[in-house]
Amino acid sequence: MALDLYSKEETPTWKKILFIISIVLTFIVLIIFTYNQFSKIPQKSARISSVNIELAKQGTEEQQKEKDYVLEAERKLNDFKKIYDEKVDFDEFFNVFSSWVYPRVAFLSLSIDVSGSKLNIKAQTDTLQSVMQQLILLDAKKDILSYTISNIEVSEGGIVNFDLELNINPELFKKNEQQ
Amino acid sequence: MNNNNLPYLTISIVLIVASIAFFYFLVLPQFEKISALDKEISDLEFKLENTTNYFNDVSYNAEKLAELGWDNVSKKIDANFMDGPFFIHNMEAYFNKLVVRSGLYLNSLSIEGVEESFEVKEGVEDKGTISEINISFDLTGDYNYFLNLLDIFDRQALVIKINSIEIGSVNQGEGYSEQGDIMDSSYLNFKVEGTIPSKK
Repeated sequence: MALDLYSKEETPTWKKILFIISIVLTFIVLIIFTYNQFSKIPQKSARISSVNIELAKQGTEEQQKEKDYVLEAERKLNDFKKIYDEKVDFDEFFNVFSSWVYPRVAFLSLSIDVSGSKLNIKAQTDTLQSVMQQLILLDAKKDILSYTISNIEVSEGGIVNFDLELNINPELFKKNEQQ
Repeated sequence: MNNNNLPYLTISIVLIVASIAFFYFLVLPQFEKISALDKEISDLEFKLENTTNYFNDVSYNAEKLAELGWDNVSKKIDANFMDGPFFIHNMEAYFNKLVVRSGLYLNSLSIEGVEESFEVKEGVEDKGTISEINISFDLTGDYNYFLNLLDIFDRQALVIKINSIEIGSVNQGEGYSEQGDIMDSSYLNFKVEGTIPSKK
């Protein structure tokens, strides 16, 4: 029987495949590492730097001045609006007020309480009939919410004095809300 | 195990273990770092967008204000935010002028609620709140002149808020007339109370 001194046992295929896989795996990991380290991370860092530079460019002295200018205007306008909203307008009131007076009645005094929307009137007329007419006129006015008549006095000359207290629609003192 | 197979297997195992270790200790932290950088970029871009939009809006509003002549309007509105040691003196002169323009006669004018001492701080811009100063007028004249005064008040940049009005005859007990006027006399006394704004 001859002896084969040069014979070698063949390496099993699975070991070769495992070897190749290990080599490929090593390469893949190295490629990922290299790509991240030398491309992706520097790219991201550069982007952060450029955004930071862009941010630093914002809020320049001129922009800050514009900002202060606009904010000051806003503050002033808000303050003014608050004041203006509380303003009382007498246009509408005096327009309708003249229509509340019966022609034969004259007012001796008139007191207007804006916050209470109340009118106190001392009035004078020639007859009790005119007082009745005045009351009928007040009844017909939608802006007079309620009224009280008191102190009716008839003087020797026939002149009638009386007091009126009117509760009126507060909207009459507001701007552009009564048309 | 055959000696010929040993390097293949050993190298394979060493490489796989090394790859896993390399991935775990070096590549994974890289991904974590990339993720953190992405978040930082996203935050910065959001901030940049907001800041840019904000300053664009500011610039747009500043241009609009300039177009609308804000500087002139602001000067007029400033009448409502006045203060200082000459406030009462200035207001008295101002209201005197308005009353004269209306045709009424000013019997008296009272301005109350103004602080008597006034502190000036160097280099400090005062953005104080708004307070109300009480004013009261005692006037004499015609009813139509009074309506004229109310109209003049209404057209002022200074917001004059009237709280109460009392109208009465100057000569109480005047006889009843049938002139058809609202008031029984053309010569009337007016007491007006109100407020004006001032910087606190």
